[in-house]
Amino acid sequence: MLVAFVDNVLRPFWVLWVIMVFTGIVFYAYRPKNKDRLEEYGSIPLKDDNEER
Amino acid sequence: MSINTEATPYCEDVIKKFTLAAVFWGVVGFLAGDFIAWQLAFPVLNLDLEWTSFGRLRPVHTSAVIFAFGGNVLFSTSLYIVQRTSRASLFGGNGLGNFIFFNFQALIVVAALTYVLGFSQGQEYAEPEWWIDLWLTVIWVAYLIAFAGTIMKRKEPHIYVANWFFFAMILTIAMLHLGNNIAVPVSFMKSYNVFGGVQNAMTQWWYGHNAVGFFLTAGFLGIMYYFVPKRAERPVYSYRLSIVHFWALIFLYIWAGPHHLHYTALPDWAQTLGMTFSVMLWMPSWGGMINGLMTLSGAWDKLRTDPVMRFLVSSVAFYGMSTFEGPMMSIKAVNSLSHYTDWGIGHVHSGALGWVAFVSFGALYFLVPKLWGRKELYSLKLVGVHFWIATIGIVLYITAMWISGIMQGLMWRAYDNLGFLQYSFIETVEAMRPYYIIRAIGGLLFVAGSLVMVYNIIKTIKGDVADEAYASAASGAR
Repeated sequence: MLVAFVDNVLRPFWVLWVIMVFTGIVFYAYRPKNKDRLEEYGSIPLKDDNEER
Repeated sequence: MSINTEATPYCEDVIKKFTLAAVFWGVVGFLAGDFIAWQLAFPVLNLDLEWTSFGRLRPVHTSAVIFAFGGNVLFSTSLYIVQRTSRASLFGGNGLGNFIFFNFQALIVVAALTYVLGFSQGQEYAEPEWWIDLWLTVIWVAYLIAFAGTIMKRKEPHIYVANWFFFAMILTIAMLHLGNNIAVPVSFMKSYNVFGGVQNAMTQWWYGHNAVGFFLTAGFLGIMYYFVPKRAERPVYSYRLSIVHFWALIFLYIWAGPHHLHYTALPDWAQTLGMTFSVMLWMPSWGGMINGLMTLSGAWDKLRTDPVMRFLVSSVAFYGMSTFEGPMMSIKAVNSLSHYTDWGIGHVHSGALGWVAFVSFGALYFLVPKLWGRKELYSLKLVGVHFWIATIGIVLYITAMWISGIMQGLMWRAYDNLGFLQYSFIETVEAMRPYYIIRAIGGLLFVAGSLVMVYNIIKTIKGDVADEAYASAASGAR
């Protein structure tokens, strides 16, 4: 049952599934709601110093 | 967002070792490369000995620069970055780190010895025999444990993008290494790959191209995403672009391998698939380049005042250039001219010297003063000297190979009016010889630059400071 589903439905259209996942990632990344949170991650390298050690 | 008030005790002893090993193997690998470059121009340098012949020294060069230099740079930077961006100390501590370090250095020496003595699996960039492959698997799993373990105990909730790239590199290299080295051992020093014919070729280039894509690109992009913002003292230009950059690269790169097998027994559809995915790689490639370069927006003056920044930024420019050239060469019509010629060698070196080595030099120049607790390098001026010597070397190298390669391809396909091939093979070799000499001179400059770096790093570790270092630090943007 599962094997047949994978063989007949999932495998022939793998490009479509992969494109959908990728489009989802782009949508997630550029969703205005996520902008501030994601862009703040860009400064993680600037917060890691132990210079005061 | 919390300020890191209590200092995390980062594990840096082993990072120092990897850093020094990277510098050492870098010089060894560059020297080996330049020596075989001179061998091509002056065959007498093969010394008429089997151990020093081009065929045996070439894998010594490629393994030394990719795995010994590149590998140690990746160990050093990834284990440094993962601790810093996770604000956690290394999982397994110096113990596990030292296990990885000493085994990896011993493996490099053993692998190089077997090449020189004439043992090889015959898989390009995967020459070591079966038991060395198994040994490397143990080292790599230890690396995965150290890296993933550090991420799992992170105090920073988000996993920074550089770590995503390193993680992709570690997992994919594991898969490629195991896939391409499935072999049946017949004795201690001899094994046969389970795949034969075109299946072997396809597996080999699935491995070979993704060694470029995931070892030399994804891994070093991780370096870019940490050290460029760090040195520029500015956040990543667009973190959202970095997410799309990462996933685009991951989805596309793994399919590009067949472009190494155009016009072979590989089925046509597979060749076209490889070409199509290679052309699509233009998108993540330029997305990544824009992200790296634009991180400098508002701080462009650092390109003038800070030679370390110049290394990092030029590496990104070379990344953009060589990853523009690559997809172009994967187009079948272009490939029919460029394949098997020196153009390929030139392309690889614009990526390897311009992108991989330059971003590594930038990272090493950043790391050494940090790790040894110095304020700045011994001399920033010498970094500038290194930069210009190496850049001139690369330009000589790649322009010589463009001319030589395109000429070689045109000579191979030239017909006379009776339909016979116009040139014999040896005539093409003769025509290429001047460019071999120019290439070897370019390589010599690159080696010389790396020796300037060695001197600068030794002086920095000793704690010496050249007078002008104060002057440039004062006039700099800080």
